[in-house]
Amino acid sequence: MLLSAYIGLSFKRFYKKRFELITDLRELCENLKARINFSHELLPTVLKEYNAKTKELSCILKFLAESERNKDDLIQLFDEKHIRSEKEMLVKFFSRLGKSDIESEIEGIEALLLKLQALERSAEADVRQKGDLYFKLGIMAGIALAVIII
Amino acid sequence: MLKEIIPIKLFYELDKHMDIEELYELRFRIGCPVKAWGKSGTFFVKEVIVEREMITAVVERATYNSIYAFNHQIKQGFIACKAGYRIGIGGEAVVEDGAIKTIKNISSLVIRIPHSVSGCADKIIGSICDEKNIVKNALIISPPACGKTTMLRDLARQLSSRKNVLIIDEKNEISASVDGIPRLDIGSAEALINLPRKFGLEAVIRNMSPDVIITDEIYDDEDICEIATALKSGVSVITSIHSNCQKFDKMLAKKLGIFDVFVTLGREPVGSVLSLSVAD
Repeated sequence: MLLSAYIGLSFKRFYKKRFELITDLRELCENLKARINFSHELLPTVLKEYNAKTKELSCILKFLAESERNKDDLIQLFDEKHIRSEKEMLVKFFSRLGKSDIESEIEGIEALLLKLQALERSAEADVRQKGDLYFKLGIMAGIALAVIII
Repeated sequence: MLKEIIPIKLFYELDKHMDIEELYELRFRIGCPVKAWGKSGTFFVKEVIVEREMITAVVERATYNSIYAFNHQIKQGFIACKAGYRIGIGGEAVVEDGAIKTIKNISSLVIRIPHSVSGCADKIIGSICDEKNIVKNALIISPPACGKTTMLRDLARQLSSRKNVLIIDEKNEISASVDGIPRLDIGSAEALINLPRKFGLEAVIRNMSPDVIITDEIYDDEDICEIATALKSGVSVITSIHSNCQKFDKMLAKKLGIFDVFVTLGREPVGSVLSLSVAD
């Protein structure tokens, strides 16, 4: 019973972490937009100074600030399980970031921001619906299994 | 710093051939070996043939992967790096509505490395600043790469012990500041970096109240007007101009009658004072 409850809890955690990571990415985009637009701050400075709330994004930012950001490295970097389905979009965004004029940069950030906002909403709904569902299913499966065994 | 910008292979090849500290200039052109000019002369680094990827990488590193922060300079054909290196860019200009939007297909680069030569202004400082500490308006004239900026830097250093000196460093070449801290010796002079002169010296004079303004490379009537404004405010100005030293007097002296001292520099050796004339 405990084991199946734990499996259910892991699913819930997965959805919660995914939501937190997407929220963190959205906040990073807002920060990028403000600092690039206002003071034309250099990209490594913005990435280094951003205070990431999740460990995953903190690792990603460290790499992004220090590396040359070639596509192969980025594909590996965004292979993180919580955002694997958004990998293509993020690789595309980060490989283009910093390579054009200010207007194009802001357009790119705003486009990603819109996508992330939508993702954030669906990830939040996933936590409430799927996360809780899997947790409850885990407990129920555990109880059912215990009843059968007894 | 140079190591962070150029390909590592090139850096080690240069290091084999010369003292990196004595390097003045590096030229990259696609399909050709890198050309280096230093104190010991000019030579080609035959081991390093320039490719487009190399040029792109140099530009990306020089701009810290932040082209948007440098595009206003790229439009004018240069990148002023943090450490005071100025990278000249050759490529294809993208023109939109009569204005340059950017430069694409970059095919050549010229990296100029600034140096601090303490005491290089010793020969002229006496003519610019007299015993009563009155600083005359001076113009340093020479073709490119003859040491005008180095001369201005040393003048700033020497004058800053007697006067309030403000450097308007449009391309961050005089002070070579990193995060606002000068990397080259400018004494106690203050530096305003990346401020185009066209934005007006008047406000700067009001806010900073300097005795002397030092600024690099004036080009057109707009620059001369700005300098005339500074002079009206009672501030002395020392600046430089690109010109053929021999023909200068006839061509521009009348137009630039606002200056009291004219110094011409030569390239053999770099920074040598060819002539010094004081207006009546």
